[in-house]
Amino acid sequence: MEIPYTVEAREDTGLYNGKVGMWLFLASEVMLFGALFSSYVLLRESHPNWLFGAAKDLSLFWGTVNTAVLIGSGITILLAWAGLKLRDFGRFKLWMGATLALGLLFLFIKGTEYAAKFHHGHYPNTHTFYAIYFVLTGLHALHVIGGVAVNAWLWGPGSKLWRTEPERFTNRVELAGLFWHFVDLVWMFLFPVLYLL
Amino acid sequence: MEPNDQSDLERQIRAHLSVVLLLAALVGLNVGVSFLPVAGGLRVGAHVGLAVLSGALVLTFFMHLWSEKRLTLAVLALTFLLLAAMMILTWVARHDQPEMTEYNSAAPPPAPHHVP
Repeated sequence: MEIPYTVEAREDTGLYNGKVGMWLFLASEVMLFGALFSSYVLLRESHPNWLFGAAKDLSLFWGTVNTAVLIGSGITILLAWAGLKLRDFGRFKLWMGATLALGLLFLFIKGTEYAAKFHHGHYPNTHTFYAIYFVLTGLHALHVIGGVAVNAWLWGPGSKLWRTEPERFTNRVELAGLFWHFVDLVWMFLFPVLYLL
Repeated sequence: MEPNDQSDLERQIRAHLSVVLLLAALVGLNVGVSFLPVAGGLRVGAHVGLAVLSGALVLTFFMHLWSEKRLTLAVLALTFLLLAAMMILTWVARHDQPEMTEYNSAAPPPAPHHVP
């Protein structure tokens, strides 16, 4: 069965179906993270002994490095997509590989930070700050894992589609890029809220 | 983004690289603000404002919102409207606490009513 509008845009929306689906999904994700940010505000404002500054025992250095890593991965995935638009599959492989490496580096640094917290006896039930910290960063990390899994598929076995349907494959990479940029976007708010405020 | 030709695409890539540098500068500024002797609402406003600016750059350039179709813009406009409403309600209600006088009071809780 032929799936319609995987490449060409629909007349009524002006978009191919996958793109409409991805934007609707991202809209629901905005509300999911929005609800958690809302919880953060309420918990922070109502807690009599909220943790500020050094009391949080978070590494500003590694938080900043991770922010740089995600920003860097944002441009590499864009270059991967641009490689396909330029009909240069090698360029796609190179930059998507770089995106994967940066995604894994982010997770490694986050994992190291978690290990340090556990080593110092900071668990989600230790303090309300750590409860919301682990929920927010944990959910974000799950999104990074999901993004890495999809990117790895597109970089590896999924890239076979390029030989038969290059336009459709390019669109898939564009959608993966949209999701990856959203993950980047969420971190732009998580970083100051958790590490700087 | 629907680039017409190779030169168009390469020009856009160069623009995106400039955005990356701008994002890095904003992150640096945000970290720098945390070292300033500023407290309270001004500090929160500065951090959140810089984060909103960074997020807007990601949305506009990396996610190509500047060249998206009207449907996408409408979906996002509705989403951000709902998000703003939720955050405003949160901010307004941030000091509201459940009274829980029954549990906070030193007096023992009232005996339950017995229905014959």
